[in-house]
Amino acid sequence: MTIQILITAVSAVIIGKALSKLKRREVHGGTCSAWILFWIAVIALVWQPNLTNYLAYILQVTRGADAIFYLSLVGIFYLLFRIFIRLERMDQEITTIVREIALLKNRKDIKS
Amino acid sequence: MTKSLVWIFIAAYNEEATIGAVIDDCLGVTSAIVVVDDCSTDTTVDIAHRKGVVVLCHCINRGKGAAIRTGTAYALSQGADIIVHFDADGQHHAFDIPRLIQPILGGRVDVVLGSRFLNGASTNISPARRAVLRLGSYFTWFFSGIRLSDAHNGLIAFSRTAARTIVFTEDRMAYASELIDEIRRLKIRYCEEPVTITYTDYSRGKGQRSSNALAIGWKMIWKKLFLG
Repeated sequence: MTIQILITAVSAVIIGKALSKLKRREVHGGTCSAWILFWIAVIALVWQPNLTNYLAYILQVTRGADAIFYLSLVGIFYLLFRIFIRLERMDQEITTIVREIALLKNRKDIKS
Repeated sequence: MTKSLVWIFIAAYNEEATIGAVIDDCLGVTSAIVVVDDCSTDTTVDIAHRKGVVVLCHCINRGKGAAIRTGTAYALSQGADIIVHFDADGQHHAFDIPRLIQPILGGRVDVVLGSRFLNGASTNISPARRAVLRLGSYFTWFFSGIRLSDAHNGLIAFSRTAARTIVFTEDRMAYASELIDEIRRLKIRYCEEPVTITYTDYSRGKGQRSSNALAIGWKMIWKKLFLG
């Protein structure tokens, strides 16, 4: 029971933070909805562990816990992939800025 | 084509020991030289400035691929017809440049890649390094479909058209493999020319470690698989 209450409390805090960010328009509606749905699902699974058996049936694995493990693995790798792509893009943007500064500074030096 | 339309681009990072001599060597070919300093912490910039060449400074270290894009953008803005990439560690020799740019001047190709392994080339490369570079060439051949005798030689000449068309996204050393990909993708005419590479203790210390080849290879595989 303690772990169930703890996970519910943590999930509620995360959902609350997501909602306040949405209110301040700091996150996209779609991303925020997906995030909130995910944590609602976590709460549901914590209180109704039998729901994982249904997932196990769909994924054709023996145990509900295995289904959660496999899905988490896929989710984590997908997140890693998204983070990698975002980092690549940020890297390129930083390089563009550094290049523009170098070229601008040269033009400024020539003028002065 | 006049001499002044050939621009030499030198990417430098903490090269105070060699940059002066490298610039002097290049000044024998053209005075149109741009040094891109990749945030050196030594006196590289001061030495380059004293030589009277154009010096562009990256305010943070971004890697050789990034420096190449800065140098290329500058040279193109100055009306360069040919851009020659030249290493700052003293491995390359300016006497190779006239031969390197000849196929471009003749209108035969748009990119000329220097090779230390072709007939007529000269190098004091170690057997281990030779083996790693050979593997690198096979790797490039496998992924790009272009077979080169020396896929990772920094001495390269580009026509203006090629320099404007080729798009680098790699900031670090993987730009070399990306270049070959771009040559194939854009169907750019290219050839290899023999060049002299002189390894010194200094250049061995400064150059790419053989172990870095694995990191570069992995990055290229990752990009091919997931980024297209």
